[in-house]
Amino acid sequence: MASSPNSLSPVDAADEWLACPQCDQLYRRVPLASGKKAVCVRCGAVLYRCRKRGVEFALALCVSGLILFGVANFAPLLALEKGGLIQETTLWSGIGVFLVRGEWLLALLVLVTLILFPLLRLAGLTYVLYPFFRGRATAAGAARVFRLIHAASPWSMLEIFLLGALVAVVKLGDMATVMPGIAAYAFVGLILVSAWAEYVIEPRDIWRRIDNHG
Amino acid sequence: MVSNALTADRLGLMACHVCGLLCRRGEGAARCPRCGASIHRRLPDSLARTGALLIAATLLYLPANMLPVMSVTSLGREQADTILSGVVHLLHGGMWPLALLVFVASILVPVLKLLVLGYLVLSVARRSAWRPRDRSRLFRLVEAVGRWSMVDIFVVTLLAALVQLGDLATIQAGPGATAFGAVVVLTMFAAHTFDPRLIWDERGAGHDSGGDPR
Repeated sequence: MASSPNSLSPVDAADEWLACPQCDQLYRRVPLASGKKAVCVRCGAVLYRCRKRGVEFALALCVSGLILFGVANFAPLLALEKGGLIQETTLWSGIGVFLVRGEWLLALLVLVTLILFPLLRLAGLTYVLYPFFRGRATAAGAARVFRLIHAASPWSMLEIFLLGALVAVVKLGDMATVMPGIAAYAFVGLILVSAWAEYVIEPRDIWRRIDNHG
Repeated sequence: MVSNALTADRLGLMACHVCGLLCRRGEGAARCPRCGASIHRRLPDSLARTGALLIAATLLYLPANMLPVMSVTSLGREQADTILSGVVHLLHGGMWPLALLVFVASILVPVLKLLVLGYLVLSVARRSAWRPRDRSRLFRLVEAVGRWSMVDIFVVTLLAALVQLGDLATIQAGPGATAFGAVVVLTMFAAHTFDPRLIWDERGAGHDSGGDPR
């Protein structure tokens, strides 16, 4: 990459400088007390944060997330009971219903926002963080993986799905009895763990580590 | 308000949109030396792209609200619901907190998002200097809240997947659901292609002053 004609050179001591992503105001990086964040004086955007927890904590969250993800995907999510008929649903059977009826756009949306991107995020973070945890060199392609995670994160919609599930269950209340399955609990855990991991990880720190090791 | 800001752009620098690395500006298309993302002074054709996506989303907003998002067939009786009639049903059922939630997520947020992004595009095109800080805030709000409109899609997904009880009761997603999902996706892309730094650009040159993050 460094030899391609269009590659750019970073400024000297690029680690010490940053531009506000929302208004381009230039700042010299100042160290923050743990738990504090730096805010742009001009537009009010958050520039960076200093997190209390380290890489090992984030990694632990990601690995637990992966386990919960497996359960949430393949165990029964909800069961519906009406007039002696019981029907169980998993996330995948929901997608199957859409595919059978030819609603492939909705199937794709669910597949991407609830399965592919959440999995990509958790697996990708584990891949990037593990070498840091072991004190090894940066994983091969870590920059590419972390860039993908950055692009995918707004499209990972587990927490929105949970809210939707709540509404759906209430709507069904007068029509049939709904029972949460194991996957429903796993989902709640997965959402908490994912949100926590997102809170703990400061992307700028990861980028700096990727840069320094690579 | 601020005409003397020291921006990366004024020093001939560009910050990577993905990893934030500050680079010296080069000629033509270029990639970030750290993360490999394509790097630009500002997002390319930001106003045109955001504008086009907004127009597409506005057009799809009509079928999304007029066509049924789901139909319930129960004991041979079929009832189709649009987004708005779904909210009304919840209200009649006495579930006003849920009705409010669905109203905000499915009706209020998409409309506000279209209006706010449309306004931001116009204000930048007209080089408005009016309250840039508040416009930045507005953008961040819209960017953060937009994903939550997907709630209704997940409600339909779950209901359609769950309620497959043959003659007893069946729920199907309607064409409005696909249109609504497309509106949410398009407005998310529209927010993504809008470069908030444009709000602050071209407001005259004054004397240089760096800033300290607060």
